[in-house]
Amino acid sequence: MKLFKKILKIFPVMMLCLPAVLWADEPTASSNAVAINTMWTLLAAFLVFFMQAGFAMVETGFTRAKNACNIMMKNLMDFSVGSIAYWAIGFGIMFGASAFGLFGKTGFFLSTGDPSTQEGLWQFTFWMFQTVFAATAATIVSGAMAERTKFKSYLAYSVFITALIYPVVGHWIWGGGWLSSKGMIDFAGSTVVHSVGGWAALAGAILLGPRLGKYNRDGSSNAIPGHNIPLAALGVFILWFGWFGFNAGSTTAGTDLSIAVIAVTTNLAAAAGSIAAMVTVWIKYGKPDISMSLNGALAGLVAITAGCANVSPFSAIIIGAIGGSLVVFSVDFIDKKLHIDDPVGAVSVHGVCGAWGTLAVGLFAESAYGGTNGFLHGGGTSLFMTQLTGVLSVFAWVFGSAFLLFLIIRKVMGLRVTEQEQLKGLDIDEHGMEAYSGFQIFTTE
Amino acid sequence: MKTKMLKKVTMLFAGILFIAGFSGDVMADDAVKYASNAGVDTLWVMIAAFMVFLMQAGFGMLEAGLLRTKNVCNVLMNNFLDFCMASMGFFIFGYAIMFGSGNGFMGWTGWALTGASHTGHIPLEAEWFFHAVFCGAAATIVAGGIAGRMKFKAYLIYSFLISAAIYPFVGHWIWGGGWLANLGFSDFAGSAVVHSVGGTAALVGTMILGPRIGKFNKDGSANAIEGHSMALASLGALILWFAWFGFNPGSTLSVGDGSLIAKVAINTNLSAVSGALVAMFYAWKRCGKPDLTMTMNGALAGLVAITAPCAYVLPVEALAIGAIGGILVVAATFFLDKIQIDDPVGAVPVHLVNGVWGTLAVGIFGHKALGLANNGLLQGGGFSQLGVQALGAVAVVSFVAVGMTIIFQVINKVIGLRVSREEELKGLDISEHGMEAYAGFQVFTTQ
Repeated sequence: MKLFKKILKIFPVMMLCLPAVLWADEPTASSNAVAINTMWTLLAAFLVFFMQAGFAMVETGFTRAKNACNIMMKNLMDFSVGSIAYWAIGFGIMFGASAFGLFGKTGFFLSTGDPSTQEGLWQFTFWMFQTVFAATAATIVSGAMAERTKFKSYLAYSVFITALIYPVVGHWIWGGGWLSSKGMIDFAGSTVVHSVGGWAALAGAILLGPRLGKYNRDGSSNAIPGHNIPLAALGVFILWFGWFGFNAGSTTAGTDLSIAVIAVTTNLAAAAGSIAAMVTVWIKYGKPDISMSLNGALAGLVAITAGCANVSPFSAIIIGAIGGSLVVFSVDFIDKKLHIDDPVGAVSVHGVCGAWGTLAVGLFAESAYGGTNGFLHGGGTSLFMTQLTGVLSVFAWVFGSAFLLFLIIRKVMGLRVTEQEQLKGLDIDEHGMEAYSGFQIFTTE
Repeated sequence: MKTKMLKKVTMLFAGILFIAGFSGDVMADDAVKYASNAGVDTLWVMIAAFMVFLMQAGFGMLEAGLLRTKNVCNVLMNNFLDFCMASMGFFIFGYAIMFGSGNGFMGWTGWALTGASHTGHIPLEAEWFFHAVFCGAAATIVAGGIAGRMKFKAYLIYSFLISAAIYPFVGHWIWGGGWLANLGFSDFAGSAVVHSVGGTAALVGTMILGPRIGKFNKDGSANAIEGHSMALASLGALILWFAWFGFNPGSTLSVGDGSLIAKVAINTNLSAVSGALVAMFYAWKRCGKPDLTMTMNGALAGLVAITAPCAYVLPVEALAIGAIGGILVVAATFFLDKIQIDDPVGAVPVHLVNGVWGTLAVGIFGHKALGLANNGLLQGGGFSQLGVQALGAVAVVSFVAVGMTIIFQVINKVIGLRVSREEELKGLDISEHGMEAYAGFQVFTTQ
């Protein structure tokens, strides 16, 4: 692409010269490599963008019909708001020149982008790829806060997570910050993206409180089934598809043949996660539940995201399978023991499995695939300890800052809709429309 | 202007490289690196494989939309888990049987990819992944045929076995250097390998299971059991069409100079278009209305039919192949109703009938100049290529029919294949999975 642009620019000049001059700009192996890498990174970014559709379908499908418009709206707007916030501030904090290894301080408003140089052009490609990642972290939260959050407050939150909370973590691990200098491995973002989203979701769900009717007086919890399982399944398929861009694209180099390994580990972990979740829930409750199996696939995908380039296919199956059964227990624990209402299981899938995936790198990494050896392959505990440090410090930063953020939003504009509104559904009261007009729906529950 | 100039430059350059290729080893190495380096090919194969993966979503939506609300979770669960089981089965056993070294019947090296051999210049993992998503597509075709009455546990076992032990044999014969490949049998992207296999398994499954309750009346006439969401079904059909551009053009497994990819894409699209149009007009004439389901299945029929010949025929021949596919799919659907085989979403007409038709079409329309062993019947090559294609189709269908009959009968004996009458009436969502697809909506469940 870059090459084409270049040719386009000097084309008028070329027209004036002798045809022989054309040869000066003929493609070479290295200019081809630039074109291939740009194409690959952009295609992968488009796949990751499509994950927004995946999240929207999953979250809508797993919640009630009366809140469908609201969830779609949140998904659409957190990407839109997030893109602008990340362009103005986030990208600079994440990849700017480092201040004490804690945050970047240059490159705001994409000032590093320069259409006249190859390096400057690459910044545009790279920004596009990083933006869709930032928006993924932001959109995870909408699931946990579904069916009871004020739309205005959600908009305010999404500015801050993409402008500030997410980029700081990104800087620590991917932007040359203190965790990356310690040698932490988080290839495609189990921690950077998923744990960040998951822990912010946890803070939000705690401060919001449960939906009406979720918990009984005696502390037992009621299941609130989702209204459209085909949409949820479609969403998971789209997410799985998008994940190939998410993980394999994180090479940001199409000339790097390890994209094949990454696709294989990603796919096997997802398959193993889904099977493990199905078996776990089958044994625990007697039926193979589809929403858990779908979440199991996501859990496997989240878990392999950190290590996808550093582990063998066999290890990927184990990491995914553990992620898949972990998610079943975690959903149960958060719902029944902690009494935190997380309608779509975002905290368990993204927070808990993100942490598991990051730690798993410390156990399963093999230097044959690049990087260092983990504990199980004779590398000792040093990598594992680094990973653990990363997981804990990211938790502390994200949970702390998101908690504070939601607290301030709650004080200033309020976080939760009224009881009346919640019963009627957010579609009518917040947006003035229905998702399924003409259908007979039982709205109050 | 810009692209024209670029093209010119590229062509000139390619021409020089082509000449350079004959002029010395060093230059030849450079040419290979430039023109078809492993990076570009790997990239292309991976992107195509990602698109084929999305077919799972396509099948899921299509089947869910064409079934009743009470069985939606079940069919989605089938779709979802058969891909997972297929990934596992194909990882542990399938790839070794399909591509390992062995004899003309099967391979037996490289279990779980350990020590697996591969021929291409792209990495082993890329090849495995591409073939794994194909295997998943073959497995998931069956979900439509057996929908609404099969036990979930039985389906899980079936989906592991087809991808570990049925699909890979056929794959070895045709793509793994087996006996059919040696005879000159050609199936570019899998009309036989993928679609005939899935379609035959679906036919066997639906025959052993028997029809859904209420499908056929005492006098032998059939009742239409209508799908609950045409929006989902159309989304599914369009996702499948989109993904087919990965399925067929991706089967080039290399970019080359791009011409083969482009040609395959055109043929794929034209065949789907003519399949949809012809199916629509034919169904319109037969039933009086342009039926959406038939039109969608017509497009899929065209896609299945062109899958084998997509690289060996010209665009105008692709139109003809798709058109015949469109007629076949409608005729076969009515025929199945007549002989009282209940195939809820038309998996047999689409994948089996058109899979076989596509396989034969190679021998009828194919060109030797485009990479076949012999010219097809209409290109003056006589019956030699057509004969091999017919032999291959018969061999594949009968192998799968026998293999799947054994598998389904054994599952039937051991854990049972069909749910009870009560469970079927209540819907498999509640009885098998303990949940509803559309909680909060008013739905009429018993029919």
